[in-house]
Formats: sequence, structure tokens, C-alpha cells
Amino acid sequence: MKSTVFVVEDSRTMRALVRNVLEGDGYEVRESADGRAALDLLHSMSPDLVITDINMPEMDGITLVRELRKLPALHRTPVLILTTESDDTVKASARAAGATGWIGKPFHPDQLSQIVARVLGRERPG
Amino acid sequence: MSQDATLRMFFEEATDLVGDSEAALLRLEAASGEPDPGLVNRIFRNVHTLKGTSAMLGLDRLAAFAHSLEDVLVRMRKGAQAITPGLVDTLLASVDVLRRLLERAREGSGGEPENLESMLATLRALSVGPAARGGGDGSGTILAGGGAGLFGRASDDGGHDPDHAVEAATVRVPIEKVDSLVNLVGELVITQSMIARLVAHLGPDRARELEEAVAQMDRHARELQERVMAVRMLPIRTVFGRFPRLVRDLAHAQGKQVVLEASGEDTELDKSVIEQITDPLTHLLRNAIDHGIEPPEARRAAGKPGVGHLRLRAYQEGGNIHLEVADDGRGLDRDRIARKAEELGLLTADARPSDDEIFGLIWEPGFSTADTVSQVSGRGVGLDVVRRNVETLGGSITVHTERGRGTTFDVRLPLTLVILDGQSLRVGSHTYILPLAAIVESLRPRPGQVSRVFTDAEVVVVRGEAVPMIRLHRVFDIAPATEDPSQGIVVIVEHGGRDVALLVDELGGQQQVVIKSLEANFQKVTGVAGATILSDGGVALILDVPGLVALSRARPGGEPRIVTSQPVVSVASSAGHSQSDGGGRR
Repeated sequence: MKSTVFVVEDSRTMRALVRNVLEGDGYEVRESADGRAALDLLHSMSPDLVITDINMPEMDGITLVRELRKLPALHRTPVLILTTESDDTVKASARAAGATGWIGKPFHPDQLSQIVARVLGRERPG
Repeated sequence: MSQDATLRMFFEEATDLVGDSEAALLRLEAASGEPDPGLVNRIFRNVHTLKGTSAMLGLDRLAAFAHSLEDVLVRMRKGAQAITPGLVDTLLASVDVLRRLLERAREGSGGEPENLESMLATLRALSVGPAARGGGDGSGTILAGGGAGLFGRASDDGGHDPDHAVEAATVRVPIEKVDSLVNLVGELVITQSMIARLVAHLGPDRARELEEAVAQMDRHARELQERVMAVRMLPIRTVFGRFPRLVRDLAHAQGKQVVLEASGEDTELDKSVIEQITDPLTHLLRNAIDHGIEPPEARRAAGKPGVGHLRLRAYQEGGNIHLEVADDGRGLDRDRIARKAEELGLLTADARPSDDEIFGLIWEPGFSTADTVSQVSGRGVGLDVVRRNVETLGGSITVHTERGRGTTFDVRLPLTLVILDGQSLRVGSHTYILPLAAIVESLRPRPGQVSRVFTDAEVVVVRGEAVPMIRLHRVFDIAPATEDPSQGIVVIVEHGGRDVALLVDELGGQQQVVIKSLEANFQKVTGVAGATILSDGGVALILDVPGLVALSRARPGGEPRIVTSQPVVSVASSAGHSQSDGGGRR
């Protein structure tokens, strides 16, 4: 069974770029354009990994991570944040909210592949 | 997804982001007293996204510029930078630079916008302050790449539920795919009416059941057609969205104060109509600001508020979409139009034209009463071009004006360009389709009701009015069943306020037809709007009323012939009946 990665990102270009890499690596990719919509969808599904952007219109990534951690089914699901902020305060608040790791934009496809494999491989073979 | 497809998606998204930022900036400017932090956030998010995606795609200049702009927006967001009119100007200019950078990246052309460096310097100067990140030089930090890492905390796997479908709110589909669907559905409707026709001639035993099944298929086919057509529809918002900036810049340039109010932005129009209506609407707006709305002093002197109002409204009425451009300016100047018309020889000095006749002159080619040629109007593009563009879309345009109170242009467009309610006509062995909406009335002339006015011009006198008559068989150079008008039917059609009578042999039924453009296979033919496949598999030409009216005006009464040697024998069709006895000659 393929591992499922849920991507939350308001830019459809960025979603497509992430999807390209992950589908190329053999993952099932689901996506949402906003934190609020993602949260609604995630109430009824349990992906193996969530990757979320930080800046989004309705609900930002940090709030999403915090909310996900309140859901029993997603309490321990790994969450990676996608960020362009070189500022460490964003990473710190993501960590405090319960994120697993971070991916800095712009990223090379290999960087994305590697960190996703690491996160999923650590838990279970992808 | 290929790199090309990703880039295409990026350019689409980036264009949306830039457009949305511009709209937010204009709203920010309008509410200068109490800036809405939500608007600043929106602009910031757009620019931030643009920065991230362009950096991913290696569009470094774009990413670097977006980064510098973002620095300023960060300061605004934190309240460290006051929102002044000057700042909004700078940000609008930055939006223009983004747009030009996007264009260049899309075209793959080298070189950079001439003011790129100075704009970068301006933005950097604005972002220098205690809150500035990375010392102001954005390009280094952004393009270095982010890396990836873990926060070093173990995290166990979650549950493992079956997958649930994720529903996307919108789907972007290439227009070609939709067009092929529209074509197929059109064919389905035709096939269905062919079956219906066969059923009508079937024996009575099983006919009833079959008839019911066909009726059901009819309903489904039509519903499917409506739904598929709806995929091609876009909200007029995409056009209206570009106008606030245009109005602002034009008004500023002329020292006028203009508020643009748009309503009905969700009104949907066919994609091809949307694309072709933008220029005419832009022209009408420019016209309103150039010639309609007065400078503030003149307005106040006339007892009106100094700020002019420009209203842009879209709404649906029956099978038509109306687009209204209304200003509360000085209105059309009857005397000036009359003087200009005399100069152009359109009017004799002793003529006593009605208001309608006078205002009708603004549609004449080359007609402009502008005393001075401004930067934007008076480029040789007149209202005649606007009207021609609208008529090409099968629409019409009218003007209402009141001296000192303003002018309203009303553009009426058909809901869809692909399906037409038609009246079929017979001339000799040929069938033609006339748009039902253009028909005023049809009648069989009494002997003597048709008379010859000039050498070969004919008119039919209807209730005392002489209506120029066109013998359709002469236009298409075919043999009619009768040459005697009192044995045939005249169909009176109206376009642009002018009536023309078409002499045909007889009227057929009314039906919805799917328009097939002939232009893909043949050059444009005056008087013919397209062709359609009839339920008996035959091909009929669809008559172009504006074209026929123009023909009658070009040579009153004398039907100019549309003569070519090759008859139209086929219309692109996959329904297996592309050959036919021909709907006529082109």
C-alpha cells in the first residue's frame, strides 16, 4: 500500500511541484489550498505525512499543526512545514506547535525526496 | 506534469496573484483613512507566494524583485511603514514591474524592464529600517535555497484509514478539451433530432415507447449540452477586475476625480465573448472619462458633486447579457455632434434631425467630437469600431444620454455563441437559418406592395414605411421557386435600428441549431454567419443579419452577389453526414 502525503499549500504551482516530486517517488498525494479546508478534510482521512505551507489565507500552517495535534487520529502523524522564512522564529513556533521538520523554499527535488523518505522511512517503509 | 505545464500553471497563477495585489492596493488607496490590515496581508501573501514559486522555477530576477517588495510589505504589516499615497504609487509601480518581469519570463526574452534597478533601489530604501531582514539585499538570501531538516523529535505513525477523496474546488481544463466536448454534445443533439424525425415516420406498434425514450434522451441531451456549455462560461469579473486601475490612472492623468462602481461581476459569459468584449468595454470607459465626466470645478459649477461616478453593470435578461457603462457626466452634446456632422457632410445645414438621428451619428466611422486628442482617446479608434466588435459577437449597443446628467451605453450580448434559436427559410432547393431574435415580422406582400425606387432598388411598403428589400436568391445566386414577391414571403429583420426585408420562397420551422463556424475551412463570407447541420442531415447556412443589413446599405436595393464557383458541400462534422446537397453557395 502506497503511503499517502497530504499537501497543504495555497499556491497551485507549488502544489504541482511538490506533487510531481512525491508522485515520482511513488507516494499517493492529496492536497488542499488552505489550512481550514485541510483541517476539514483531515477529520475524515489519515495520511502518512502532512506537508504544509505557513502563509495561507484562511488558516496558517502553524495553526493547522496545532489543530491537527488535537485530533486523536493525527496526534502523531508527522508534519513538515514548507517555509521561505530564513527567520528561525517561524521554525521555532512550528516546532512548538508540534511540527516534525521543515523544508525551506526554494528546495531541490532531491531535498524534498530525501526528507520525506527519512520521515516516512523512520516510521515505516514507504 | 511536464516542465512546460508547470510553467504555464505558474504564469496563470502569477498573473492572478499580481492582478489580485493590484486590486487590493487600489482598495487600500480608496480607504486611505483607515487602512485594512487584511488588505496588506493579502498583498503580502500574494507577493510571498510569487517569490517562493518563481524561486523554485529558477526565475531569479522575479524572485529577487518579489523579495524586495515583500520586505516593504513586511514593514507595512508590522505598522513600521505608514501607508501614504506616495507609497501606494510606488507599490502600484512595483506591480507593473512584476507584470513586465512575468511577460519577459513568459516570452523568454532577455533584458529587464528599464526601471527595474531604480524600483529595486526605491524598495530597498523603503525597507531599510530596524525591521528590515537580511540587511536589505534580498537576492542572496532568497536564492540560496532553504534546505530541510527535522526538529529532532520522534513521531509515530498515525492511523491508517482508507483513502477519502479530496474534492478540488476548481479544475482548470484546457479550452480545447472543452471545445471538443461542446462539439460532441452538439452532434449528440443533432443525432437525437434525427432519431426523433425517424420515429415520427415509424409504424404505430412500438412507436409510442420509442417516442418516450427519445423524449427522455432529448431532455438528457439538452441538459448535458447546457452543463457542458456552462464549463466554457467565465464570470465577467475577469474583465471588470482590470478596470479600477485603468480608471484611476486615466482620472489622475486628467485631473478628474472618478469613482468606479462595478456590479454583477459574477455574471457569466462565454470565454470567447469575455476575450473579445474587453477592448470595446475599455474603450467605452475611456470615452466616459475623456468626454463624459467633467473636471471637478466644472462639475461643482453645474451643481454636481466634484467626484464623478462611473457605473459598470452586468446582468442577464432572457437570453442576453447586458453590460452597461454609465457616467454622470455632461451627456452627449447635440449641437456639437450636429456641427461635426455638417463638417463631415453627414448632415445638411437645413436638416431638422431628431435627437435619435443626431445621437445615431456617433456610430459613424471617423466620428469624434473630441476637440483635443488626449493620450488615450483619439487614436483613430472610434465608437464605430466598438459597435463593429460588439456586432461581430452577435450583440448590439445602444446609447441613452441626458444633457448634463450623463450617458449610458448598453451593450447587449447573446448568452452563448454556439447555440442559436433559428427560423428556417426555403429558397429554391436550399434551406437557410435566420436568427429568430433578428426577425421583426414576416408577411406575404400583396401585388403592388413591392415597388422599384431607383433603377434596380426595390422596397416593400409596410404600414406606410418603405423597407429596402433583398432578394435572397440573388445574393446567393440560386434559382428561386418564384420571382414574384406576392407568391413568396418577405421576412423583415432589424439590426442597429434599420429594417431590411428578405424575400424568400417560404418559411420552415423554428429550431435550435448548433453553429459551426465556416471560417476554419473557408474565408469569411459577408452575409453568412456560419452553417449548421439540420435534423435531416442537410447543411444550412446561417444568415448574418448585420452583414445583410450592411449589404443593403452599401447598395440600396441592388443585391450584391456573393459569388464564388465552389458550392459549400461539407461542414466539419463527425456525425457521418458531412456530405449534403449543399446549403447554398458561398
